Amino acid sequence: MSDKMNRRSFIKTTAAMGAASFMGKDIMASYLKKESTAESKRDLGISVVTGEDYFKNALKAVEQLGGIEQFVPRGSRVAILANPQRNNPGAFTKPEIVRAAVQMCKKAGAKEIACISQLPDQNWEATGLKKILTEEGANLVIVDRKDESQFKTVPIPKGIALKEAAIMNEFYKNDVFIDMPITKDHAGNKFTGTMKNLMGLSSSKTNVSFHMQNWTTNANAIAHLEQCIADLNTIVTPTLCIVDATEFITTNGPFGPGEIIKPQKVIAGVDRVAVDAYCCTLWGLQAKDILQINKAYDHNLGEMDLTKVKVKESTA
Amino acid sequence: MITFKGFFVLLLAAMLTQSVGQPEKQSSISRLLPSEKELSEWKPLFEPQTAEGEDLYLLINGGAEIYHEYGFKRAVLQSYENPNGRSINLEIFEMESPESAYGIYTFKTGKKGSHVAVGNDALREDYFLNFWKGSYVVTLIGFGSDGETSQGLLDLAKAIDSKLPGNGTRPALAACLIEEDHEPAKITYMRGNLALFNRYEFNKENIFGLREGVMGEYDGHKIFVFRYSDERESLRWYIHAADTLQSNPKLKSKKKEKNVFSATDNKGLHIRIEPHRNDIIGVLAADPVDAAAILEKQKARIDQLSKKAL
Repeated sequence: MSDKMNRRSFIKTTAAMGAASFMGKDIMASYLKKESTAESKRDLGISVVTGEDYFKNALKAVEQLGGIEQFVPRGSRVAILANPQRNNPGAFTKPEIVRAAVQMCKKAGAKEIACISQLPDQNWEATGLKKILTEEGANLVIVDRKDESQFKTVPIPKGIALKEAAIMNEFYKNDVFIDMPITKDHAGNKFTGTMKNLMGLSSSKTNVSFHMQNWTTNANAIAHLEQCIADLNTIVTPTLCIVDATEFITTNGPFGPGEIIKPQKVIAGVDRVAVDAYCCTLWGLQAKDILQINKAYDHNLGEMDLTKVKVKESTA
Repeated sequence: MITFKGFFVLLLAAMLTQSVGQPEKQSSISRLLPSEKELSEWKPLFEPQTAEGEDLYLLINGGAEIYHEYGFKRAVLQSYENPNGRSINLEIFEMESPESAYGIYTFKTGKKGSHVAVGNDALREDYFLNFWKGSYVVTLIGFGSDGETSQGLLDLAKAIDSKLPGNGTRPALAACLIEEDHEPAKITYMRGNLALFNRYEFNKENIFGLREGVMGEYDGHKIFVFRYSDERESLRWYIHAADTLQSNPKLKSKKKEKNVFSATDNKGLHIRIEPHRNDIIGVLAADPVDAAAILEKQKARIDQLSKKAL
């Protein structure tokens, strides 16, 4: 391991300890374990599988990284953060991809698997996600976003714009966290992927603070939003990201309806900066033009230059 | 005794328990939803979700900003299903004015699609339909291209159209892009930099001080017109924009003159920007000679409209 990695790991670990110390000893131990596991697996690169069968794409994408057992220890509790924002086509994580993730976790011997969310039950029903969770025996845990007691305020030592965030308590009850966004357009900043999806863990009050007062929409507002997203990502580290890049909107995001493209890809990886850098290219964007990717890179959260990333591509 | 901190916590809790994105009792915008008779075979799937003002964020997250830029008041979302399992999503947005509604309508609609006779204007694209009328924008999303869903979209659109108050007219500025036999394939009416940023990124900063503008997309070129309160203001913002663009490393062949700025962007398109009367006019075209000619023609169009207005 290089000096830079050692230093980076030390800073991250120290920051994590600072943050986690507010949460109690058990949570701290679990958080640190998740951090170090994820850190060591960044070098696996990213895995991209293309094909018409999105369920198979998801299975193979993880298989190419060495299999789910790399990420889900036997007996672990798994939390999945999918996106059921709205059931408009191309705006939500597809059920068959979430089904694949749940089945993989079961195969690895996970004790409990749950989708955690703040969005109402009807969103999960309307998108078909609730049905597959029921069929697969996974739980759906919906946190009341208006109930502040369901969230714990955590300091963000490395935060530049965001100094603290209220994260749902439910997040800390799990050993493994799988981030499962759909990548798509976003009218506020042109792109959303793994890192923006983590706003699904923070409270409404925290998320509103990512936007400027009176919903100002100038360059400072965009920069502020992007910095807050990057800052949030310094205290939450997914064990694994599985991204729906199969069919998604490239206009009028994140809610839609909009124009839909169909790259038919599922992308898996630990390095969320690299995953997002790859995803944005699918509709002609470049990572260097997406502020949140740059700011996350500045936070040493991953690699944004895809020429330096192992990208394994195949078809299902 | 309640302390100041305690009072603040109670106040915040009260604000956050307002009904947002949750099933709600009859609100002023929900009365615009189709009645049972109007729905015919379509039945509501869930309770409607509503949001007002700043609470739009809780309904559509980051998608709220552009609505606020245009001027948003309230919204209602509902889903419907028919006996054959077809489903349709309905979204009604009440904006601050007809100009705001027209603006967000032009932002949400694309270049392809067919116009239908609903509201002030309606566009049917692929799997969805948007229309605007008065201060309202309505979006209907169908989950299929079958005849039942297509007819359902149109029937629901007409039912809501009949309930919407007011007519409203397209902002006068939009007319400056149109002349006989030469209508743009697409017009976007803008009320701020976020709309412009999504259409063409001159700069992340609001270098034009944009408050009102239009963009027309034609075959092979684009025209921008940004309007100000007077000639002094348009000139002042032109100078600021030209100075900023002059130092933009992404642009090539930059040339800044007193009343003309020109450059080539990273896709090889020629940019030409000039102040004219109360406006700044910008053209994007493949050829610099074309860009100059198009800009002159746009100036003439604006002069003609000004004469008519007098």
